[in-house]
Amino acid sequence: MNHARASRLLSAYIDEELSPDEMAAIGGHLADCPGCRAEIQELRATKRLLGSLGRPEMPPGFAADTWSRVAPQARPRLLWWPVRLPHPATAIAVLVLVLAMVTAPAIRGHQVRLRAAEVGPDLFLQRTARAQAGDPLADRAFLGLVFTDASLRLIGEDPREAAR
Amino acid sequence: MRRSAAALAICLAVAAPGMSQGTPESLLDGVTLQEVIRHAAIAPQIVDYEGTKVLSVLRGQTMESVTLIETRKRPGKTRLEFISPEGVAGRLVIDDGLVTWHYEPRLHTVFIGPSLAPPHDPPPPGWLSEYDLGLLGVEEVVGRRTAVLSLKHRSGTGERRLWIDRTTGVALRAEERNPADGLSLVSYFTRISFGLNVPAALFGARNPAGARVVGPAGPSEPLLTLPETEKAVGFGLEFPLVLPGNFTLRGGAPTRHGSMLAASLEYSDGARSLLLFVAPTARMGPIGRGDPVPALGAQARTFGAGGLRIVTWEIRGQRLTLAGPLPLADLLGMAAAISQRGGR
Repeated sequence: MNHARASRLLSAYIDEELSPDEMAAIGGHLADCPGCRAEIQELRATKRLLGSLGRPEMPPGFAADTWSRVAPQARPRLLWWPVRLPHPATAIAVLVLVLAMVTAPAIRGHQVRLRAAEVGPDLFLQRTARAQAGDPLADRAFLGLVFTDASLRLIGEDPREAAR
Repeated sequence: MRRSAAALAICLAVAAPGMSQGTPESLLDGVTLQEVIRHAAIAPQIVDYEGTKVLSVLRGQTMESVTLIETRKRPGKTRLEFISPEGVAGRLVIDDGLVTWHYEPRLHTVFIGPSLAPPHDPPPPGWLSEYDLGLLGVEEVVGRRTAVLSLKHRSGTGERRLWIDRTTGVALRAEERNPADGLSLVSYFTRISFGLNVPAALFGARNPAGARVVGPAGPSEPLLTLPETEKAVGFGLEFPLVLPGNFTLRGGAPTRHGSMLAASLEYSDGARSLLLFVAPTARMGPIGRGDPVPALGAQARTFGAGGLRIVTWEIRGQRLTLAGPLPLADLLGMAAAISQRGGR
């Protein structure tokens, strides 16, 4: 066994937690390694020192006091699933988010329908006026009037609003 | 040379003062009506002029009169400067043959869109095959001799009358009329000057400082085939290839505005165009504007705007809108034909 591995197992060697083969291998290494011998002597001294410390006595009422502090923070488990109920504000926020995700496409689709119905007639008029440009006998001033009126309506302006 | 001969013939033929009646041969000295109309169709490409024009347009039940200065410079430039009524005063439209530049002074806004100039090429043969041509006589307009022509659609729906200047071929007066509305559009010059060296600077569009610019939209895109249009809009289009009045499908295109998307199918009788707009009802709600049309369903509406009329209705999950320069009765007949055969 090399020095690095033996050094990591010294604490377990003292506590006799290794297999017989490992105990024998470390024992052989200790015979040849003065560094590990010195280290194991320090570990044994430390263990003895800790073993000599007495057990501290708890003050009277310590356990009851501790439980009285911990008990109010405990949450009952309502479900078999080990999840605690969220805070009401968090729950509402999550609910609103889910509803928004579900309803947003529908609302947007409705808005698109309404917008299309609103701008459609003017857009169609504009396109129709432009299509009449293919008629060589069409009156250009008339087409220009219809086309520009529709352009104004498409941006929400009244084409006949008097100048201010 | 042939155009000059036609113009000269008209010149000789319409020399009599006031409205003169007679056979086309006697009034036009042997020149056919088709030649006269053809000359009128190309006149804007070969004649410069500047004049004051009055437009009287049917809006709902009333006629609105608009006065403007119209300037043309060959081959395809147009400048329209609106004078009255007050709501349109100062509006300036400059069309260079590629794009239309429109400045609205009260909004300090510039709109840039596709050109409304007529096609540069002469009309194809047979472009008026759906119309009966007639010579109503000769008449003087703003001191100039004109030939008064009538173009009646063979379906008997509407009539266009043109007062064609004997020398230049320019229409000095035009009327659109139909049995239902009577006159729906009257356009005439109160003065006009030909042969001017109109300065090119008049057609230079320069955005005023600080003006808001809406657009720009470039020249009109070419029409697509029906399958290409279906692919572009993402929904099916099953509609008749020919509508009553022999309006034949020329093609389609996607029509977009913001999040709105519709397909537009263009039908033509050779001269006038009808557009059928199609959008799924899931993407376009019912149009609230206009008068109800119970015959086409609860959601059907119609309204007119300056000589153009729109009919909108629903069929099999699609919102259809038919628009064109036709009387309501004709559009309703076409809508019924579309409902019987079209939609998906």
